Amino acid sequence: MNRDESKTLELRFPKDLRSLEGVFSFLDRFMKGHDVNAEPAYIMTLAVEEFFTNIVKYDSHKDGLVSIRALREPGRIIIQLSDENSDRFDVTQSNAPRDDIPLEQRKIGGLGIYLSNQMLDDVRYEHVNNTSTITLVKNLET
Amino acid sequence: MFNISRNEDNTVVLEGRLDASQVEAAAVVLDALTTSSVIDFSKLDYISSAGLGILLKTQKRLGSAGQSLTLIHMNKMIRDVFRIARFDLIFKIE
Repeated sequence: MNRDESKTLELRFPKDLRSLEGVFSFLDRFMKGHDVNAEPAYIMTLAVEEFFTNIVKYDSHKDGLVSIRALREPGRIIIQLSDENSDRFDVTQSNAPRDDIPLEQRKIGGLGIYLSNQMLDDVRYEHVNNTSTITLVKNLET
Repeated sequence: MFNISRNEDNTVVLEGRLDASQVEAAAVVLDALTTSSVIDFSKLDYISSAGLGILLKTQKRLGSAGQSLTLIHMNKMIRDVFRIARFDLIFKIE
C-alpha cells in the first residue's frame, strides 16, 4: 500500500537491510515535503534506521513487511514503524554507554537505541494483535 | 550514496551516508589500515551506530598495536552523535 496524503506518508518495506536505501528515500521525501530542518531530519532518520535495523536483526519472524508511517503535526513530526508479524519485544529500552570500562571492552550493541532515545522527544512501544508498533516523536523549533 | 577512499598521504575520506547497509564497503578500506591514520569527515553527511561500530572496531585493532585514528572536519550533527555516544572520549577529534 502506498498512501500519500498532505501531511501523512506511508510505505511498507521488506525486513531486509537492503530496504534501507528505500527507507532513506522515503524519509528524504517526507522531510523535504514538509520543510523539516536538517537537524531534526537527521535525528529522525537516524532513529528510523536504528529501529528498522533492530527489527531486521532481532525479529524472530524474518518474513513480512515493516510499515513506516510519517506524520507532520503542528510543532512536531511523528514516525511509526509497525511490524505486523512479531512477538512482543520492547526494543526501545537502552542503557547509557559505559565510560568506566576500557576501550577494548566497549561494545556497540544497544548504542543506536540509546542515541535515538537521547535525541528524540518521545519513544513508545506497543504490541497489539501480533503487531509491534514503535512511535518516534521529534519536536520542531518554532 | 556512500564512498570511501584512501589518499596517498594515508588520509581516508568518507563521503555521503555511512549507514548499516554501507558498513561492509567501509570495512574494506578500514580493515586495511595498519598504522595511525586520519579520517576526513568533511564530505560525510550522515553516520549511524553502524558507522560508529566499524570505526570503534578499527580503533580497537589499531590501538592494540599502539596506533590510532584521528577524525577531522565533522559537521555539527555528526559531532553531536559522537558526543552523545561518548565517542569523543575514545577518538581524537579535530
